[in-house]
Amino acid sequence: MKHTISCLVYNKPGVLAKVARSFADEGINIYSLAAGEVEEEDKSRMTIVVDTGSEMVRRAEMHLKKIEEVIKLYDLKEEELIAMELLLIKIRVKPENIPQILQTAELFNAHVIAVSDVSMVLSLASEENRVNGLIKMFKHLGIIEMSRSGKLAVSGLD
Amino acid sequence: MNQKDADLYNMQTLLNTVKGLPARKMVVVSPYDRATLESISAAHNEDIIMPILIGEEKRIRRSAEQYNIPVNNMEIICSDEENIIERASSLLLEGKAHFIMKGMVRTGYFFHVLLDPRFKIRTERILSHVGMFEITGKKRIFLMSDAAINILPNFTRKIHIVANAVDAAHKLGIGHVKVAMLAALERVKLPAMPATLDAFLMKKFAETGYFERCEIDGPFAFDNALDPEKARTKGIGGDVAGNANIIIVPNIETGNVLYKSITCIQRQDAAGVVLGGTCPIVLTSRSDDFKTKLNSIKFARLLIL
Repeated sequence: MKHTISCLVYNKPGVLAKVARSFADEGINIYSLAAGEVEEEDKSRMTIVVDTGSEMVRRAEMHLKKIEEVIKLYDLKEEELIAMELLLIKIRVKPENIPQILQTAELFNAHVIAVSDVSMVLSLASEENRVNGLIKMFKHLGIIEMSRSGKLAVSGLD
Repeated sequence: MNQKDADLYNMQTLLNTVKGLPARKMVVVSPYDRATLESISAAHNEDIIMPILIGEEKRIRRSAEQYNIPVNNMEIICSDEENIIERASSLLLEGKAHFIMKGMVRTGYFFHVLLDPRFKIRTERILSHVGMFEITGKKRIFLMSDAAINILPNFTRKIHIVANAVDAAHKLGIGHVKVAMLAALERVKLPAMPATLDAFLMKKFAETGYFERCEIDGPFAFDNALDPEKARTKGIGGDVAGNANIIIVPNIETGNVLYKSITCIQRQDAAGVVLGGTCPIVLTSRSDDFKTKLNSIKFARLLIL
C-alpha cells in the first residue's frame, strides 16, 4: 500500500541522508522523494512516497521522529491530501506523429516547452495517475528521456 | 488560366475568369439588405449564378423595390422566418442548388441549422473561412485563413484550415501553393508564443505529404510572409518567405483585424467563403459592401465545378 509522508525539516546538510536512512533501516524502498524550501527559508518539506505495509511505515516514522532536524511528520491519507507531480518528457518527433503528440498533450493539459526538428520536450503538472497516463500514451511514440519530480503534496483544505 | 501564374493576376482579373464558366444555382438565405441584393443581381446579370432567394417574399420584394433592384427574373421561395435556412439546406441536399449565401441572418444560427446532420453539409473536414485579397500595386493575390469561423484552432484544426485553403488555391489555378504560418516572429518562442510552435510543427507535418502540391513554412511575421524585400532584409530564406499565396493566422482575432484593416482602412477589395463542407458557403460580414459580396460570390463559383 502506498503511503505519502510529509516531513518538515530544518534545511541543514545531511538531513536528507538521515531521513533516507530511517527507511533503509527498515528495508523500505522509497518510491519517490521530492524536497524543497517552504515558506520559511530555513525549513524544507520532503514528500516521501513508500509502498509498504502500515506497520513498517510506523516503525520508520519512529526513526524519523528521533532525528533532531525533523520538526513535523505527517502520514498523509490519500483522501485528505492535495498532490501533484511534475513530469518533463522528451519525445521523438516524426512528422506523421505530430498531430497525435499534440492531441495527447492537449488531452492531458501538458505543455510543449521546447522543440527541435527531431524532438520535443513537454511538461505536465498533474496527479500521479494522469502523469502515468501521459507516459503510457507517449511510450509507443518514442520516449527519449524523462524526469519526474515525485509527488508533491500538502494536506487537504480545512 | 495558366496554372503556375494564377497568383500573379490581380484579383479582379482572377475573379472575372468566372465569366467563362456556366452559371450555377446559388440559394440565398434572407436577402433583405441592399448590398446582398445588389451583389446577387450583378452576379445574375453577368450569368455567374442562377439565384434562388429564400425568405419572406414580401420583405424581399419590398427591399428590392426600395433599392430599385429587379428581382422579377429570379426564383423566390417564400418561407416563414424560422424555416428559411432549413429550406435552403434542403435544396443543397436535393442537388437543386450548388452553393449557398448567407444574407440577413445571425451567423451562429445560420450554421447551427445548416450543419444539422440531416443536410449532410459536413465532410471529414472542419469548416473554415478563406479570404482573398490583393497586394496593392502588385499583380498578386493571397488567401488568408481563418478570420471568421475557428476562434483559437488547435493543431488538428489548423491542419484542416490549411487543407481547405490549399484546395481553394489549387482550384483557383495556383499550381504549387506556398503557405506561410503566421506568428509575430520567425523563431519558436515558448511558452510565450504558442503560435510559433504550431507554425514550426505544421512545416514539419507537411513533410508527410498530407497537403498536396504545396510548401509550408513558418513561423513568419506578416510582412516577411508577403513582401520579398522585407524577407530579404531580415535574411529570411526559403521559397515561401515573401512569396506566400496563403497566410494562416493563429486565431480569429488576428484574422478579423487583418481582414477589417484591409477592407475598412485600406479600402481594398476582398472576398470570403467558408470551405470544408460539401459546397462553398458565401459568408460575408453584414457590414461588407456590394463589391465584397459580389467578389465572394465569384470566388465561391470558381471553387465549384
